[in-house]
Amino acid sequence: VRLRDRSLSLAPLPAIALLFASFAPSCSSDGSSPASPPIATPTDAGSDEVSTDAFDEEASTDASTGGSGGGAGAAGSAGNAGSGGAAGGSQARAVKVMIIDMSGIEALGIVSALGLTEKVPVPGLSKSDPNVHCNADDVCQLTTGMGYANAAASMTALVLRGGFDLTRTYFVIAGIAGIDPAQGTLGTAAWARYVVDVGYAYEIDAREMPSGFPYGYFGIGASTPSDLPSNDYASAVVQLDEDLLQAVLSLTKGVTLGDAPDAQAFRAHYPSAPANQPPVVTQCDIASSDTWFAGKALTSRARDFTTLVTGGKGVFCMSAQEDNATLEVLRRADASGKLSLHRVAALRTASDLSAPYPGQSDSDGLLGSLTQGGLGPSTGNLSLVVTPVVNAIVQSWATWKDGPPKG
Amino acid sequence: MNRRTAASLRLLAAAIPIALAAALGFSPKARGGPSTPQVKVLIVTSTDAEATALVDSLALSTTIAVDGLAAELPPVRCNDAGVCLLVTGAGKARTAASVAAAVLSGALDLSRAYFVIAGLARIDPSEGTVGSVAWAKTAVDYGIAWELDARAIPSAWSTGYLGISATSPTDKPTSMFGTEVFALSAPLAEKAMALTKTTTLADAPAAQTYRAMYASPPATSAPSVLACDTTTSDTVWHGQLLGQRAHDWVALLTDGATTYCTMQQSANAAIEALQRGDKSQLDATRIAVVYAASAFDRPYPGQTAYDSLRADAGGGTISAQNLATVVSAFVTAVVDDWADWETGVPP
Repeated sequence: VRLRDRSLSLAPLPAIALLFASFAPSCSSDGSSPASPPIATPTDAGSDEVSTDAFDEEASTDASTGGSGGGAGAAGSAGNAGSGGAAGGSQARAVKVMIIDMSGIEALGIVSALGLTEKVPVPGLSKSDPNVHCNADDVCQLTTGMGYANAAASMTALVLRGGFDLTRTYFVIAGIAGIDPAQGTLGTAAWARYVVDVGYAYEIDAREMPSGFPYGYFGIGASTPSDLPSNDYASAVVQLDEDLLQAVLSLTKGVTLGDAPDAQAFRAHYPSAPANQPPVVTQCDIASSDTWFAGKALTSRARDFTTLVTGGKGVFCMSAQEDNATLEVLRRADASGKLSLHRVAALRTASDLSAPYPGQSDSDGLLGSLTQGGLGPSTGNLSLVVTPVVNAIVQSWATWKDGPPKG
Repeated sequence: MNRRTAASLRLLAAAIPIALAAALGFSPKARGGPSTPQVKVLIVTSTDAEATALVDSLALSTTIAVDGLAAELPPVRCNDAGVCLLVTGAGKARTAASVAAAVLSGALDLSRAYFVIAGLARIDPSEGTVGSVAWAKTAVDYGIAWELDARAIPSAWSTGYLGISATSPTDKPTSMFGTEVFALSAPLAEKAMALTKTTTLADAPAAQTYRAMYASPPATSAPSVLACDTTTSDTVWHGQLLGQRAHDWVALLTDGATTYCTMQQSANAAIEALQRGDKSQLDATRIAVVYAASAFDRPYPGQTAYDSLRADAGGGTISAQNLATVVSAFVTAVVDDWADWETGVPP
């Protein structure tokens, strides 16, 4: 499959994630961790807007102006009534697992492997993927469409108009991505602890940035790339539930992943592991942005920014184009009691190594990023890794229904 | 106060919101049914700072809870003329989530509503100046793209940005996400412009001093109401080089039909979310997009991009004020002449 074939332009495209790669040993080597990184966790999803007068910087929001439940008397029940029957209605279908894909090629193998043959139309989903797909075990799947706007809009539709009871649902974001060769290779499957928005930032073209800057990106409200952003939104940095992360890792770490001859040939250009080794299931983190960046400098920037905003705990690895938008909707729904952020996991499999191998230019690496041979293994590995998680949850529901099993 | 008075006051307090709701046609049971408030104009802003002057000038004093909005952001606020305002939160994720909630929650009857996506933006000094207000006919996404660091690009490229799956920055990409380019209703944009072009805009000494540093009009001129187009990106890019990319990118994606003018973080996400309503819920041809320039997108001669990005161009207050003035003028025209607008943009 060549994405650049115009004949394919109307087909669902590979979710467009990216990778990076310079060959530094790791991206989590910064010892100057900030004391209080602005991390939204499942138990602390507050906002940290600050006041400024520039358009791109969030004005301070006074909690006393009221949240969605705090309006004038007549309004309170109106809002509650608008939830489309999704939350807790007696006939609402209680979904055990909801898989969230972004494109058709991510969905195909999962829908087939799990027998998701029932189509449930949901108002507000994208016109190209208007149905949630389910099976008799109450396992369902949604395709949001690619990019932040599609992801946030489709997730909002699912939550408000799906008609599902999501209060005990496990959500698995399952998509393809680009991978940092320092963390993995074509076909690698990684479960994330952190999901970091790297697009919500300032940028100056590197050719006119201040001398001494390593790249042109820095946080909104920050003075330099090494300063924490002074202006984020609540889902700009998300830490996922650790018990769930460990549980899914335990269930899938022994999965034998698929590979392909052209992927093997491509990764052989890289001089060291893990880039030149067969793919495995691992743990490393996701950066998302509508902008699919590649090359050494922007890879370094993603590593550095992930390190900065996670207090040195996050390891940049997979680059994707939706996940912080998806998580913003899940955060809101968690806050209103429709679902639990403690039940959200994020899996990305690597379709491409966006950083070049030694001797390859950044531009050759980027322009060839969908012809590296990783598309087949990455999409196939999504269902290979998701399936054992789904099976465990469904078959041991008594163990899972009250929350992720611990240790 | 005696017990009876206190009880009466409590009853009165309880009755006020109900009375307000009744005056609006709002029902506590609003659920997409016939009693749901009919909105004539829904204004969508990113921040409360952009909304405050509009809330005041349009007397948006009734709040409506909309399921799916963020608890830390204000509720939807409305007046009794059917004008409502939604504050989404900045950036594409929050914007799309909030607008989709307004459309899909069923708390508002938007079936005949006009939508005014309004906010503050940065402006190309060759198209306008700080304090100007611009109605757009086209919104182009700047961020959905491939990118390399500009120091690593081939010598024939002018920028590190190119379309996804394109072969160079001058190779027009195919639309893959569906949110890259939105053409808005030209008759609506033109009518909005006609109704507001003579609006008297505010200016301020600090803005006058700052814009005088630029080389030529329109950057150096007094603010005005403009008809020019906009780009959306979560990344707040800045400078001559990324500004040139905006110009070239917008021209490429619209076959030269559109000139880049303002940059902001919300429009394409808001427009996509509005597309998610079906025809019974809203009319997607009734979307207007207007941004007021709080700052420039690139430096004046001799200034660095970094200093320009971080400078106070003196436009914060006047841009919010001018946005409110222009949007209020348009909104007032729509609701005052609703009989003319109800079935479509009047000639």
